Amino acid sequence: MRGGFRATEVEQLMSKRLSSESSEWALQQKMALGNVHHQESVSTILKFVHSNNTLRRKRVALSNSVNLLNFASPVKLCGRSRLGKTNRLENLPQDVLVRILCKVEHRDLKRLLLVSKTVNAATSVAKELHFAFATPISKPVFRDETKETPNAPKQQRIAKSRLDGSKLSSIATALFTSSEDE
Amino acid sequence: MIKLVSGDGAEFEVEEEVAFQSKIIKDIVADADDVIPLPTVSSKVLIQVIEYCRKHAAVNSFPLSPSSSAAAAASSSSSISYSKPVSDPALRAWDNEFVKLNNSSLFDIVIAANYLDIEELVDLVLETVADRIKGKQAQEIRRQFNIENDFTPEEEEALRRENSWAFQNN
Repeated sequence: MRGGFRATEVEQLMSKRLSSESSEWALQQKMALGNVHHQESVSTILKFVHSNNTLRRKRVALSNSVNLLNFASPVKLCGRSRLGKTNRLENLPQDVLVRILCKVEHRDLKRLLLVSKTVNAATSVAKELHFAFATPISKPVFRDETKETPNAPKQQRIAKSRLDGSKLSSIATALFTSSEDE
Repeated sequence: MIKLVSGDGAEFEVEEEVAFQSKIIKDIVADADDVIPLPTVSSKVLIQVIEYCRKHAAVNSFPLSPSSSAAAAASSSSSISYSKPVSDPALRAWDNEFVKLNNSSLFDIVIAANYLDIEELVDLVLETVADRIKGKQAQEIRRQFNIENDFTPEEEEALRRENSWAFQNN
């Protein structure tokens, strides 16, 4: 149980600090923690955190209202994985999640905003950090640009050249005949 | 040789050039001993990361090996520049095989790689995950990553309205 409390402390500290460097800091804290309890892996820490859900549920509600706009805290995320499903994407450190989202394309952003609150928050960060400065991959202005113009008259046959080899000589007349020639 | 100790106590001996794919380990070794505890990395993940580092260390230090192409040999022989696409097609093919894992394993690897500061591996995994997001509808993304839609219908409607300019030709 002691280990559980320590893990909780770390998670809370993590949730307080928001920038990416602070999550590194939190990792270091975790590492230090691991040094104390030798052989304690991330997964065990996470398990501890999960089993402590009841302890921290109040806090979940709090951080929900405070942090909702800018950053969803890891504390909040733990509450959700009680569904039994593994929701690893949202449990990633926010800086990693943001870096993933920086690799999608502009047109994916609008759907990502609708996925969930956590993803929405991370997408907003990615938008400010990366997409505001990136050029969208060009897409055709009109859909189905490759198709032919819809109402254009159909051309059944390719227009044949009306030039006939034998008549070509008749074309090759001097257009500007000078008066002396006549 | 450098000894890496995983979170569950398993020890892995790796050559320096393999371990030095991680900038963190390089820095630690520079001013400390050769046994490096990695309490937050499990054995399973560490094995995968070492596998990746071993492959990349081999290609980076012996660019003239028969497996790598002439193009790679012509490129930088000393060190591969970070955060650029891997130039060697054989290595890239290997990378593509390497990341054929489920999302959960990929996340384990990216957390470890981020922690160990193996920039190329982080980029590789991030690209892979991003590829699994690209072009998908919100619902598909939720299904793929087991994400629960925690918006109320009103909130979702508000979001759609807010971004209506973007949803015009969804």
